[in-house]
Amino acid sequence: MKGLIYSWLITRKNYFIIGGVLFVFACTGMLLVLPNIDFSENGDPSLTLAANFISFLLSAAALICSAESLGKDLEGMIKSRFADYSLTAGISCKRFTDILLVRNLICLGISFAEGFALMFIYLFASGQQVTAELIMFVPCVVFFIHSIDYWVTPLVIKIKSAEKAGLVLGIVMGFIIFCIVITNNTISSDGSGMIVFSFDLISEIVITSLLAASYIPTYFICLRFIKGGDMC
Amino acid sequence: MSENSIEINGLSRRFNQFALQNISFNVPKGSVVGFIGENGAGKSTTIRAVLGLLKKDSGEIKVLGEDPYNMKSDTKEKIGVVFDSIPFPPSLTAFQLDKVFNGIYKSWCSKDYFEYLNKFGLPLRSKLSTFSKGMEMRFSIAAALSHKPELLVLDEPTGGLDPVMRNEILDLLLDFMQDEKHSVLMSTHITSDLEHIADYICFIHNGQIVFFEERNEMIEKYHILKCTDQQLDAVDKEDIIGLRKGKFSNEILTACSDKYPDITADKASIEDIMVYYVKEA
Amino acid sequence: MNIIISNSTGAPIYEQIYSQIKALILSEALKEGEALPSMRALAQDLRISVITTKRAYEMLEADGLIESYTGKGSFVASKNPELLKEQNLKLIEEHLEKAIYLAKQSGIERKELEEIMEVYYNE
Repeated sequence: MKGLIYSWLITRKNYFIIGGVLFVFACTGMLLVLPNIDFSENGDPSLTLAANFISFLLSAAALICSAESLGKDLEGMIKSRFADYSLTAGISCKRFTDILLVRNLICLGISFAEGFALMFIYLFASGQQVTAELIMFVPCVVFFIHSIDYWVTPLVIKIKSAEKAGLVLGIVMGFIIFCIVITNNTISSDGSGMIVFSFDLISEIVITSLLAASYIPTYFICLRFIKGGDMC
Repeated sequence: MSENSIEINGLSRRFNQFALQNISFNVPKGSVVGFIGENGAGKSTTIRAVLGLLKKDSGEIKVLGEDPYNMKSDTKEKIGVVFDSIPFPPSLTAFQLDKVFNGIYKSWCSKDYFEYLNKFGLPLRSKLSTFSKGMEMRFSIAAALSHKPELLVLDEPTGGLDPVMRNEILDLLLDFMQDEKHSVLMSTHITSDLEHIADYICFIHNGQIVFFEERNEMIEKYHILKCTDQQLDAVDKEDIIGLRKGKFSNEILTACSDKYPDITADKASIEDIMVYYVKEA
Repeated sequence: MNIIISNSTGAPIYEQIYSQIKALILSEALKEGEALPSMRALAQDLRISVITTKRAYEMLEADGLIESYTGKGSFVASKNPELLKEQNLKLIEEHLEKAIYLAKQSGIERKELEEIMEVYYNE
């Protein structure tokens, strides 16, 4: 078990480094720039919008980097037949599935830490009020990114290509999100340039729980595909 | 405990363009079984089934006494596997892989591993992606031998290697076989490799086993008869396994050369036997 | 101990090994109680199947020329009457061959040879 985690860490060490750099960059950026922007009603709305947007983008980039390439690494394992080799070496199908989950959870944990840090720094630097909704937003986004990444895993096992799997999933997800946003008007601007998320706390909790729960069927689908053989 | 390291009985699996049909043979303990056949005959597919990597439609397989699909980890560690290309992340080095293997195998022996790497002249801190084919193969074998295996399963280990390298690998296998509990199943289409090492030859063609014979018996049994057209007519059709008609002479592969003492008979090599059997088909 | 096998002679390899080891034993190049290489070591050295060496050793054992013990290996058997007889037969043949050659050389007839043999045999 340890062996496959170790090999994964070494193989994607660059992504960790880039993710770390982006994280530090986002934090320092926000700390330096945001205190100078007036987020009250008197402030310039386009400026606050831009500041929010860029903060969001940088944070998303840092978080996505920690999710990046899990699918690609699995594809690499399949193409190089390292997955086959591991199975013949004494790693059972269940163990192998567990390892894929553990990798995702490690990245999830890192994202959580980064996400909360980024959120607090943003709120502190922009002087906005800390609310439960905003705090709860972090697990929502983190689970969103990583559960999608985990859903891709069984697809990669079947399709044997991370890009194709990501594409298929991306299209489906994008469509679903589009429908939700359109029908619910969840994102709007209240005139001050602040992006208002009309998610209430309950919705956020529900969404986070659903996303977390989605890990369970995904795990068993993964296990089923791996047990089915013919992986490589 | 069975006398066989591997037992295959009635293995079948259908694909789109190809099917393994009713494959049955055994690898007795302490023996080397050479598994031959043309490209696409089903060697790799059979081996994958033996390793539990391939779903089967029907049949039974026992490796070291257990079903490969439900094998205990400890038993899996006794099987050393060599594929035709290195099944490791290409961006890692041999040194890093030592730690990876240590985390995979309970019986991993770093000392043996580094000794083999040294003996094979393999660099420790270069990425695997920089290795030549010969280096890849030697690396695979080093890795396979370093967790104290009892059974080695090799899928085309000598393809793409020069004769000198192939000889070195065969020497390694002969060394491995000094322990009578060890067995080897080796698939190859380079039949000359097996002349010196195989105890049994299993020939697969179009997904079916054509024969499974003791190597010595094959040497005594099969001959190539070189004959004229008249002599050819005198030969019983039942005795002809494969025939090549030429302008100046004909060649027949037969197992009954004693019936025709007047016709020039040469010993048949494994390659001859394979080619003539396929011609007949 | 040297064993040379050839792929081009007609004789099967196990027979070649059998004959050569037998000759070594009978000529005392391999002494009583001396250990033979293990079947596997010999197979490895000659680069042949272990089944071949096993067969040769089994034939030698059947003839009483060697004794094999699992776990220990194979050893040249202690002299037994059969072996001695065989050895002596070989020597007799050699001597006879010489005698007959000499007889032919000097025109001595077979009958005369037989008479000489009778005399010596009855002593």
